[in-house]
Amino acid sequence: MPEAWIAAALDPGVAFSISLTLKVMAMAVPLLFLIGVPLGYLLGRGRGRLVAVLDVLVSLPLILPPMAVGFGLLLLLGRQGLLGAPLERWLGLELVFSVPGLVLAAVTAGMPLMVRPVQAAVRGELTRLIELSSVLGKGGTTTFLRVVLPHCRRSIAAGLFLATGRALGEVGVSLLLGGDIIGRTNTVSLEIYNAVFTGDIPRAGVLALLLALISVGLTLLLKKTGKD
Amino acid sequence: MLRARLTKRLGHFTLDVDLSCPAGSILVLTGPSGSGKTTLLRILAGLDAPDAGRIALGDELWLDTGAGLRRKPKERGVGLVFQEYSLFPHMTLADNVAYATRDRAFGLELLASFGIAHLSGARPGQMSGGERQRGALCQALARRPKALLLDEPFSALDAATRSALRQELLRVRETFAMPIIHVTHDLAEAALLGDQVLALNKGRPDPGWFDHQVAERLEEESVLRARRAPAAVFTQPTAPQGASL
Repeated sequence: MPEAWIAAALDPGVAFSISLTLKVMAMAVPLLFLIGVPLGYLLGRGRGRLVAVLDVLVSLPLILPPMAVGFGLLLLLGRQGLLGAPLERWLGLELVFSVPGLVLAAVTAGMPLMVRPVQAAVRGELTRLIELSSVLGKGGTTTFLRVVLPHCRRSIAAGLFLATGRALGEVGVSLLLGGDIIGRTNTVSLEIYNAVFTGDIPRAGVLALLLALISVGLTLLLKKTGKD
Repeated sequence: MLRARLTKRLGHFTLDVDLSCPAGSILVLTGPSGSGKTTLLRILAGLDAPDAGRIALGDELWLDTGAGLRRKPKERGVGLVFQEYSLFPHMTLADNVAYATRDRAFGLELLASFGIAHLSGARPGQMSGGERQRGALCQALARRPKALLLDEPFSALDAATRSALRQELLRVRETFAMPIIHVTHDLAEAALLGDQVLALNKGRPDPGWFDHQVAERLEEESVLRARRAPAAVFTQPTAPQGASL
């Protein structure tokens, strides 16, 4: 039994899934930060219909089944899709069944969990601090970098940990946007699904254990963020 | 001289004010809650816009709705102190003051003059209410403002600290020689600090309101004194009979 698990852990296919997942997360996490923080700020402080529509769109991946979100994105970004066709024709960018598709799936799944804590943090006393900063002669960029970001750092960190955990475990959207092509787009989560489907329990177990360990690590970091 | 003439619709009444405050003097804004005092201060700082009006500090025009001019808060060069959240909680006191000025030495000098230089490395959460408000005054003064706007800065403090800070504010008036507009509900504070007192009631100046409130307060105090008087008689030591004083 342990031999089978050790063999599974040393399998090059498993190593590929792990390195692909790390590669996807290395792109998805900065994107979650760079898009999620300004988006949370806009949703927390903005007014009007556009903001309300954006608010609903950001929540959709939490409310809708992941398969439905993935299917919607596939229709939108596929080769014949409303956005996918012009992107491929003019920029040569293929989003579906590729690594960019997996990154998009991870960002889509994690975004609500990144945005919500920031959105909550930029309400309340921060309004007064932003006003104070402007009266003290500072512009929008300085205020954002020196007041908003440090003031919301715990919420940003919490959002990033939660979003990373969610993006790591993403299956539904990744399956439809990435295609689960062995040796190309089979991330750790998808490889667990594949292994269970083919009865390779040690392989599924090793990968599930790895995800569990990362999740425990993220949970501990989240708890530490709350205490600091 | 800070001059402002403005109107702004606020719920069920209109704020309609014409004020002037010379450099080196304190104009106290008082009046019942919801009478438009804070809104007026926010308009002067540039944080809110009036429906119509004109604001100028000397020759410098800050707002002229007729000409479509409205300078941003950062362009007006005012110092502003709120009742709360006047310091950035994630910065130390020294960093808070340095945020307002590049002249770090002047910032430290201000902290020393307000007796809080020893708290330079402390964050606002580690300071008392009085220390925080002293720090907020230092931050507001650090950029050498052209006018100082204070929105009930002492109202959350105990009586002794409030009294000390009033003295500090009088010192600021002498040292910085700029117009100071101070919002307060405290009648004694208004009388002690104000070179002028402007009482607002439902958005309009109401000089009778302040006089009426002072008269009411004096009456209450006389009732309290009268009630305390018999108790005082009983606690007085009595001289033994036949003793001569």
